[in-house]
This record gives sequence, C-alpha cells and structure tokens, in this order.
Amino acid sequence: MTQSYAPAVAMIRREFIEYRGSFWLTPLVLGLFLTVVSFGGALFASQFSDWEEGIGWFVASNLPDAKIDIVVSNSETSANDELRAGLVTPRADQIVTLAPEPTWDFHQSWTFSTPGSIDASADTEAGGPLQTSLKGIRLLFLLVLWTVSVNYIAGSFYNDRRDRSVLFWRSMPVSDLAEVLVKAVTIVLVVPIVYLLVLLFVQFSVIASGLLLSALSVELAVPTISTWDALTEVLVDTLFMWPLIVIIAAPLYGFGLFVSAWSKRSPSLLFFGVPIALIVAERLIFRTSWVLERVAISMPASVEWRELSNQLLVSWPEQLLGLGIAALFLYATARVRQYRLDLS
Amino acid sequence: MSSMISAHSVGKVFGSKTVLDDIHWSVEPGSIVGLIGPNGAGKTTLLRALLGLTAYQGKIEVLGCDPSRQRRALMSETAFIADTAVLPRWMRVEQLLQYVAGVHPKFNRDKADRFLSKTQIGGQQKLGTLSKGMMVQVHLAITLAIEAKLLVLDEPTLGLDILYRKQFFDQLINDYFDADRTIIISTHQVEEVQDILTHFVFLNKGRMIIDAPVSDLETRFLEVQARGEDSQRVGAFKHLGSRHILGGKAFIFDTPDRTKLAGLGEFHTPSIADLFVAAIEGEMS
Repeated sequence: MTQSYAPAVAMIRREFIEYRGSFWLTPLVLGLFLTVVSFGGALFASQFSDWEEGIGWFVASNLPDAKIDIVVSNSETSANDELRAGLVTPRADQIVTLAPEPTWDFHQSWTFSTPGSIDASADTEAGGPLQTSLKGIRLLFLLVLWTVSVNYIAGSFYNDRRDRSVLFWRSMPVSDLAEVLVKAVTIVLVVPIVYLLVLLFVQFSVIASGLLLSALSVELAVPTISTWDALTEVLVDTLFMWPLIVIIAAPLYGFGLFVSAWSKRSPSLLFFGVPIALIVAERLIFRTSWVLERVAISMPASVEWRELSNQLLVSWPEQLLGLGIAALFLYATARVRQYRLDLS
Repeated sequence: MSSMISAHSVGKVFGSKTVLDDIHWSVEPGSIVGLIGPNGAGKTTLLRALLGLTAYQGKIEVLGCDPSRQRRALMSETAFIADTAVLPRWMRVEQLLQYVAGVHPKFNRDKADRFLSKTQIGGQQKLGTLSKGMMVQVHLAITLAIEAKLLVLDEPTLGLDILYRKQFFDQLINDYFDADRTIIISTHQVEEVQDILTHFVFLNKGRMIIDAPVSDLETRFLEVQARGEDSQRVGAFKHLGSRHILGGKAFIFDTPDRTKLAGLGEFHTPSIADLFVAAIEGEMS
C-alpha cells in the first residue's frame, strides 16, 4: 500500500504504532471484557431467576441453621384489580371471599430472601444501579486513560533518545515544533477520542444488557423511561469530562513533555517529583495547598462535568494562565529537543 | 557553481573541551568527501553542526540553508545515516516506509520497494529482528529513494562485516552518486573508503589539519622510502610523519622540494591511510 505526503497523519500513525498497547489494545480489551461481563451478567441473572425458587428450597432443606425470611403479602386486592382492569371482568358470583384462617392463597406474593440481601425492588425504582455502573465504567476508563497519558507524556521524547531512533526521526524534514505539537495533539485529542468511543460503546452495551434483563423479566436493574434522562446525563458526562480534565491538566502535560525532552535519566521521577516537591514546599512555606488542589482536580474522579465546568468558569483566569504556561512548555520542549539528542 | 557546504570559523566547546576549533570548509557538488579522524576528533560533532543537530559558533550554510534555523528545508534535500542502530526497532519495514512517504515530499516509494525487492527483507519484518546488515539495507533503500542532493554518512558501516561494507559502498556509488550530488562520509576506517573518495579531510582534536582533493596525493604529497644512511638525510627535511620499512624508513611530505629529495630514496604516491597516520603522528610529535 502506498501513501501520499501527509505529515500529520503519518506522525500520529507512528505514535499509534509505537504505543499500540496503550492506545489500541488496552481500551479494546477493557471494553470487550466489560461488554462480555455485562451481557454475560444479564444472561446469568435471567438464568439465576429461574433457579432462585429451587435454591430457596435447597437452602431450607439442606442447611439446618439457614434463616430464610418469608414475607407473605396479601395480593388479593391487587390481583382482583388487575382482573378488573383486564379484558375479563369477573361476575359477582366468581368473587371469592377468603376465609381468615389458615387457607393457602396462591395469589399471595411470596418473597424468599436471606437476611441482609439486597432489596431489588428499591434498586429498580431508583434506576440507580445502572447509572452507578455507567459512572463506574467511565471512571475506570478515565483512570486508565490518565495513566496511559502520563506514561506517554513522560516517556515520549525520552524513549527515542534512549533507543537512538531520534537520529532517524530528525533526519526527516519535520520541524521540532511539529514533533512536539503532534505528540501533544495525539495525547490530548486523538487517544482520548479512541478511549471515549470505546467507552461509549461499553456504556451503550451496559444499557443494552439492562434492556435484555428487562426483556427477560428479571426484577433487577431495569431502565425505565424515568431513568433515561439520568442515563443521558451520564453519557454527556462521558463526552465532556475528559476535555475539561485536559484543560485543567494542561500545564502538567506541558511540563511532562518538556521533562521527557530534557531529562537525561528517569523523566518519570522528575515528572512526579517536581510537583510533589512544589506541594511540600508550598505547604511548608505558605501553609497553603494550591498546587495540591490543582493536581487533585486534574485527576479523573466521579464528579459531574457540570460541576467541573462550573469550577472552571469560576477560576477562568487561572485556567487561562495554565493554558499559557502549557504553551510555553511546548515551545521550550521544541527548543530543548533541537539539540538534546544523547542521554550521556 | 555555489558550494554545497560552506563553513566559516565554526567552533564548539563542551565545558572546558574544545570539540571544534575554527573550522573553515567548503564542499562542491559532485564530491565524495571522506571526513577522517581518530575517535574523539570531532567528526560527529561537525556533521551534526552541518545538519542543525547541535549548537555551534560561527557560520554554516548547507544547500543555502542555515542549519540551525532552516533544518526542515535542509532535510528535504539532505539524507543522513547516523549509524546502523538508529532505525526504530519496534516498527515493521512497511510501516517505516509508509512513515517516510508520509513526511518526506521527495520520497519515491516505488524506488525503495524496487531496492528492497532485491534483498531478503520482507515488508512485515520488524526492524528489531533484522541483522545489522539488513538494517543498513533498509536505511540505504530509504536514503536512495529520497533522491537527496546531499548524503551525510556518519560511520555508516560500523559493526558490519566486510561483505556488507563492500556492498554498501558499491550501491552508494552505482545507485546514488552523480555529478550533482555530494556524499560526506565520516569514518576512522580509511581503507574502506579511500578508493571512492574525490576529497579527504583529516580532523584531529577538533582542528581540520588537511582538506584536499584525492588528486593532491600525486601532486602535493610525496612518500620517500629511504634506506640506510639516506633515511637520516631524508628525515632532516621537514616532513609530516614517517614509518619504519624493511631496512629504512618511509617519510611523507607535504609540498616538498622534490629536486632536493631526488636520489635520496624511492618516490611513491602515499595512500590516504599512510598520509592520515603520518599527519596524526606529526600532530602528536
């Protein structure tokens, strides 16, 4: 296959080849695993519901000390209401008046549960478990993406000096600034797009598995119309959360790229060490924790994007300054990269 | 015709060590220049300065570009092979060719494919799995397909066996070189390049001690092999260096008065290797 002259595309493709494991395989494997688990869980749960009566009897008859709470609720009224609401209206002589004692009524609803078990109906009413799952999956993906980003940023310009391939890359007609910008765009834009696409796919899969559960009539976490708004909010969070994190973390990213181009050994140590030293120094000298708060807020957490965007709007001069510092770091990285070829 | 390379008062200092010392140099198109010097002479630093890969004092122009400010434009017309170990080992051959095609406007992919089809190298092979010789072949295929005006080779055959070394230089001459192109080869293995050079430059301790065309070996330099008492008489003349031969000594002169040396020994044209050894010894003494 031949390829025409397209420097940016070629350079980004190179990054994806070099970091294939982090950029492609990790999100795909993670996404596949979670998708399989969600659908597998739905199918298993439906099977489990068929078994639960049998399991109840098994527990009762084979475990002498087992405690089973049996709640019997009189469903006569509701059952008759349902009949009335249906196509068949019972005649007066068909309505049976139940004797108070001790007749078995199979219209009654029987619920078997061991002490401490989860009240499934409460979950269903809230639509909460599904929303919580989606948020948990998003947090997991963002944490993985954050780890991948930090690893890439701290190592990118260092690794090619370590394996000496820097001499080959620099024999190509590509400016140092272009190299730096491509790496920055790759990690703040292109890689997150890959992760977010996979994440959205997984989140839709989880919703689909919830619908599957619903279709299989299992009383577990089933989305209802009333929960769709909440689910949409989670998906919107997924789309907007990372760009906000990137804006907050921009100076840290710029610093990381600079360190990877400048450091002659252990760029990761500098990348983590300098902010930690700043945090400690600020605490000791000024008794404040501005740097710590800034680093903490740039990490993925289970906050809503609206909450995060509000924080950004409130502190916009600080964010603007942060972006300016990031731009300066990128320029400095290109300058350092120009002559920093060897590690010795 | 304008120079491919022109350098004026180029210097570089690392700490207290002078790596390049007042280099003045000019290279014309159609030249194959051997940059020859012992380890640590400053060859790599000089080449990196020419390509904008290291900072320097003085003024350099390569293909009309200032290497420190116009490196991108310069590298569009220049190919550079640093040594055998600089290709990214995590890439496949095909991926590397795609990358070069993507970033180099003058890369001729078909030419690279034709070159590689004559080798045992497959497109899906990872560079890390190739032998040093194969790695050089891939690098050479890319270089030849770039059709650059200037080719800079810094110890390109380091670590290769003699067959690959010979093949490398044969291909360079047959498939790349013509009257409009220039090759700069840095090496301390003089013997393997001396037959293909049009010019040679000796560098020692950051100083350029000789810069001459190969034709000067016959006209400017002279080796006199003297035996017995004649060796003392010849040695009395100012010479670059000498070496022992059977029954006497061989002296190498730079622009000698041949009439005064006539009859004192046999005249020979020195080889670049002998001249290099003599020049370095002369510097040391």
